[in-house]
Amino acid sequence: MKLKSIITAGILIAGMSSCGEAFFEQYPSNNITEGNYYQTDDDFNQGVASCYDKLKTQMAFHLSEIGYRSDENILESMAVSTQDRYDIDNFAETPSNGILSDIWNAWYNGIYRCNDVLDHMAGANIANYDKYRGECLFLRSWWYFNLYRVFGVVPIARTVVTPADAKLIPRCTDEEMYTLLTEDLAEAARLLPPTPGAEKARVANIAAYTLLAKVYLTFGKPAEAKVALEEAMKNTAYGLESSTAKVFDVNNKMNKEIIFALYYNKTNDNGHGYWYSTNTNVMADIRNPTPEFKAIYEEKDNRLALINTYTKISSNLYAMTKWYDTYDATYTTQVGNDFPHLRYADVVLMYAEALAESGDGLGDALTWLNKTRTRAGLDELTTDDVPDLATFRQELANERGREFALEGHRWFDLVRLGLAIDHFRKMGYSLDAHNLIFPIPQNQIEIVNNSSILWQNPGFEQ
Amino acid sequence: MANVTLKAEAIAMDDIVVVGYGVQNKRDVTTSIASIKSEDFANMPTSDFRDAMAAKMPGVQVLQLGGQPDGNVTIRIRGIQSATAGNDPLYVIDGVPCDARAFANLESNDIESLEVLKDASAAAIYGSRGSCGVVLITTKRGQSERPVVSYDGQFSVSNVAKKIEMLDAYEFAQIVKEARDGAYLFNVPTGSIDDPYEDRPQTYHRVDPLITAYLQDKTGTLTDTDWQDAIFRSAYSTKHSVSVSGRTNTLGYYIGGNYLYREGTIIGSDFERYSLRANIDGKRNRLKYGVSFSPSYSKTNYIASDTQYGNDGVIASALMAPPVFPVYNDDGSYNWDMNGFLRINTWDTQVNEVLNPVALALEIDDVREKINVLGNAYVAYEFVKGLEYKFTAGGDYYSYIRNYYRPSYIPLRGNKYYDSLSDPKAQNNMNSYFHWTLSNQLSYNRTFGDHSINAIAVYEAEKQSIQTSQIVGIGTAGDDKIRTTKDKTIDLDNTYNNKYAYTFASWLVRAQYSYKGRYMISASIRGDGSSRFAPNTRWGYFPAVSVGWRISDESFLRNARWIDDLKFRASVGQTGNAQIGNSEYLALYGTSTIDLGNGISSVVYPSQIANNDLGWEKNTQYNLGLDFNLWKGALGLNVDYYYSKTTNMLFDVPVSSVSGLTSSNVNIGSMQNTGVELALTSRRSFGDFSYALAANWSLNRNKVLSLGDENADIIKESSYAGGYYITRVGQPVGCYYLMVQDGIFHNQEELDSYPHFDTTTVGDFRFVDANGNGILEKDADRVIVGNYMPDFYYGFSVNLSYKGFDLAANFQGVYGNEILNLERRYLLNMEASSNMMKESLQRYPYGNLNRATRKSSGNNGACTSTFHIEDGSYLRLQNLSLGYTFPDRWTHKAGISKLRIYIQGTNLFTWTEYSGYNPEVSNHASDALRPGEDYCSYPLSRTFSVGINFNL
Repeated sequence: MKLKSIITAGILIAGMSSCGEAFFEQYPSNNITEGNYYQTDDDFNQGVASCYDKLKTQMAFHLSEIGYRSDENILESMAVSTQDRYDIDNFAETPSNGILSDIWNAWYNGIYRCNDVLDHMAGANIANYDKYRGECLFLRSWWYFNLYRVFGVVPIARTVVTPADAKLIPRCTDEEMYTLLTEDLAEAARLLPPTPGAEKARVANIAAYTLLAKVYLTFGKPAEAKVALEEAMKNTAYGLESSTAKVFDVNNKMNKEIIFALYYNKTNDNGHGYWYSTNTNVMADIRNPTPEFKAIYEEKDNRLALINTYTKISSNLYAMTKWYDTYDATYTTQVGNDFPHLRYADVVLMYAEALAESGDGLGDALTWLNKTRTRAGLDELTTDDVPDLATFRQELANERGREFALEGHRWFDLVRLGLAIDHFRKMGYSLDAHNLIFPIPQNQIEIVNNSSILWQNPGFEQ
Repeated sequence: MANVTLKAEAIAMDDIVVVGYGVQNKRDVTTSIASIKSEDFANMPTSDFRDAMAAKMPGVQVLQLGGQPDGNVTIRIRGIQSATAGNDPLYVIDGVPCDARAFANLESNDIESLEVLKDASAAAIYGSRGSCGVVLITTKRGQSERPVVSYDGQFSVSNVAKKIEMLDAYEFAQIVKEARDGAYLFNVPTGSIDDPYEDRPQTYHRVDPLITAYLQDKTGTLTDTDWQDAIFRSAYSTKHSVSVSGRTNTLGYYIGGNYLYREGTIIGSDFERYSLRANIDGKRNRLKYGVSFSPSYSKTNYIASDTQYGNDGVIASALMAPPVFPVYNDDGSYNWDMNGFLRINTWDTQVNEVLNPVALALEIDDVREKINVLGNAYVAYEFVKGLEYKFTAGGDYYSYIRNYYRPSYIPLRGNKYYDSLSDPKAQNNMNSYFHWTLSNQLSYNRTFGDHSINAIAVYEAEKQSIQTSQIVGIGTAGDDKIRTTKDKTIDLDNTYNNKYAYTFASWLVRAQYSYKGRYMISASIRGDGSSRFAPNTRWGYFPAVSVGWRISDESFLRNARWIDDLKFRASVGQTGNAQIGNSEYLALYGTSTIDLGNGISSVVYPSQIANNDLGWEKNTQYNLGLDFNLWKGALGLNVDYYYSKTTNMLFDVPVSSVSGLTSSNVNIGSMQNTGVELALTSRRSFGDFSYALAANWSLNRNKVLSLGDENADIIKESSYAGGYYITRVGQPVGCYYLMVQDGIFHNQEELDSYPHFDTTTVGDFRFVDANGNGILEKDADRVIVGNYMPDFYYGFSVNLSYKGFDLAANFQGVYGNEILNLERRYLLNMEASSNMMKESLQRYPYGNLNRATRKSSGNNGACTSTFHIEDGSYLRLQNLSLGYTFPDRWTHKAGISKLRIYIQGTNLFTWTEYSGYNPEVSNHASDALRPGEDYCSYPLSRTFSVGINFNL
């Protein structure tokens, strides 16, 4: 009988071990699963924070890679590991360029994060609904706008899409991109507060107006841009600093000129290594930024020193003034410069551009252009110096180049102002209109494998 | 216990074969099962028992990926069944399914037999986990009524089987200079190689005085280090096994203890293992019960052998380190000049920095300890004759502890750090695995006259719980007093603990029927539920059926005396594959932190999109087999033909990034494997002399049939960007997809008449314009240029015995595969940015390789191409042993029932054209989409052993 009870016990144990569906419900401890997330305001807040977090993934593209495409940086000789950069520098990139596929992947991941918050937010009763929605719309627009500037029209997802559905979304039209960006940014501008609050690296309504204006200018709508910028300027919490150097002073982080920036904090391990440092202080040996680019500065321009002087950190490390900071005491290899994507000088110079391009007279436009010139110690330009729109565009491009050196604007400015092809031809590069955007990543073309959905840009077809 | 001569004497027709949830008379097996016995395992001087499977079973490919003292083995059964869901077979020890980790400490001397279930019908009994084959391991149990005490002892010495021929210091200096001159002349075509270095515009045009000294030296006495000699050594190993076993009417027992110590052939690496096994079986009337218990402990002093030079890789660093630097300074301290002297001294000559490999091997602590307790217990009761109920509870506990310390006196890599102290890093990992299985089995086993019936029904459940943790601490430069995380700053980004689990529940029924042993049929079905799938796809069902026909028992063959046995087998079955992650179907979020200007706050980001349709990958396999035994063992032949088709493949496919993700698991596509396996045996005795010959030959052809709706190619990058793999319909999975390098341009005329890159000059690689459009394009001119799957693989063995002497030889071979030797990207890039292979002397204009230049402007080495593809065929003399068993009449007096001594050589020769260390490669062994990549590995060793076995 003892035997039977052993057997019975065995059957019972086995039976208990598999009592229905609960036995199969095993969740990892280190991940949050969808079912139990997105309840409280703070849950959404952390989701929105993840969108900001993604901005830093490909910041090197804005900091330096697009500078290789423009005349700011040059890679004089290629090595095995730098071919992608070399090709971008020389208008020779192929669709399999790794830098391009990296930004494509990262930017769409950012869009996915925004969409995930937006999807779950629909109908949620949370206190900061407007702010979070505005932030997600702004960030999503930022990524779509950059995708557009780099690749031309791209597939648009406004909600989270499964991989299977994603490959069925065709590249949009210019109109669809225009509609998406202008509607979302206008809504974001309405929803966002006038100031970001304690977390200063979050965006306020001025960021949405500023980006909206840039979108309008890019799409050739200067009158609309003017209106957006006037809205931006109504926000008096923001304005020009007394000098460009002050904007970049690490003791003056997130100052009133900063509208949208990547925030770094070396004191809590959120810093970075030196940007644009060199291992020599012999100016002739320093190639980035290039001597050709520095030539657009007048000698008395107080912004030249920002990119042309260096501080010795160690025997073979010299830090550029524009991105100068000291190593943190605890995190001894970190510095804490912020990287601005949008700042008030851009509002001012875009306003000059909008006035000139919408035919409001060059005199008015020059008033605004002169604001950053005089701040830099340059003479005011008059309509005698700038008699026509073509000259204005050239002066504006130069001024934007000097003001926003190494901030990731130069290439896009030259393209928007219609100056890129001539400019780079004069420098000895060979390019034509197809080089104004980049090829769609080859791996994406191969994944979708349908040229009516995701076609290659002209001139890059295989 | 082990007895090599036994094999030659016995014509074992009626062996028992383990078939999964039972045993079967080998005569009655209707499926494809390969089997090896304890004598095949005995005396192998290896740590991983699977080494002993090499070359012995058709359809079973044993890849020895490295010579680590603790082993590095991968098993593939009948090719590649799955593109991404894992291709490792299921391992079952004494009836309990286990992960590979559970037998990391399994001692080969404790194994009685090992069976491999190859066809789907045999493996279907393991349902969802059988599609890559099943390896059944049966450990030894008490056999003999007289207690037997057995001892095996072995002593071995090993050396690396192959060195790569590298440049010496003088040759290196010559090419360093040529490469700098070459880059200079490329950038400044008007220049001359006689131009003073200081006038050249770029640092990589210049040659350091240290190098110049070699060019001018006539004495031949300057430092000339062979870095491979510096890290390799003769390694010694010992192994001892003692066991006691026996059986009485009511109790059987086997108790064995083992000790193994193996030095690695690379300094700083060794492996030590202690293990114990106790198998007890009892019987009382109708009750049977038993317990198996096997605790073990092992400790590895690990070195980073397979990682790149940027990650402290010892071998990569040794191959790349310039021979112009010494291992030690005159004062006995480590020399660090290879870490940037040529970049900081006078001019930046641009020779890549590597760290001193001897210091990396000896000074970094990396101790990995494994504790494993494996056990099971059963009770069985026979209710009526033939009807038995059996309850088994089995499980294992495994823990893995790693303590790593990188001292501050090893600098970080790079000229910035050169010889300065680094912040020391301490890391501790503790992983534990607890796994249990409960199984209820009802079996009915009877013979009625000519009819024999065997039926089982099983219900079982299992769960595996896993916990992992890691602590990383960063200390203060110069302070190496305490080599643990104590008092260090904890690196929060890399410190975690984690907990997860998976479960399976299954039922199965199987019936086997045999009529007169002449007609046999077996049918089974299994249902598996797994926590790895969403509720709607959770359960999978896996049926199988097989038939056998013993033709030799038919009247028309009964008089053919020369035929001992002739059997025809046919089977069809379905298996599944659940070797995927534990939470693939769930929408998941990850966590992180960010500072948005007001201190650190939390971040939650979506990391995985829900995939409720993710389902079982299924494999349907058909098998036809014929077994002959002729002339009383003089000739045995087994032939198997199979066709298998995998459907609903779980592909981790690159997906459109518009989804936000770059890859995702999807059930798409199908793939087939077709194969033929032959096994030939012959064994005879002539008086005192006997022989046994065995040969096997396997052919497998893999073909991708579909890849989802649009059959889009799956293109993946190799470890180094620019090298590609393609998986395309109609081709084998994971082919190399590269540009074809077709010699070099010898003169301007050739250059002008061929498509080439803008930057290509005379002396650079010539690539084929594969699409013939007259323009060389890196993407469009890629073509499929082979894969890692062999045309066939084979093994053969000879066993001879004469009186007390026995001689055995084992060969293993692979034919017709290609290897992507990415290591050549560094070692043969003509940049002389690190030391290079001797082959580089064949550079233009002296030979058929490209010109030397520090910058690969002609896309020479910068373009991964067929230049990096090599033939991977080889034939290896795996084992050669000579033994002598002392005659009974001598040993008996001493109370010894058997005494054998032997000498043995392992991995003695490999015949191959492959230029790397080992033609069995795989840098990412578990990724079927990217097989066959060599990116540095621990070289295999050649081992000589002497040993003794005796039984009391």
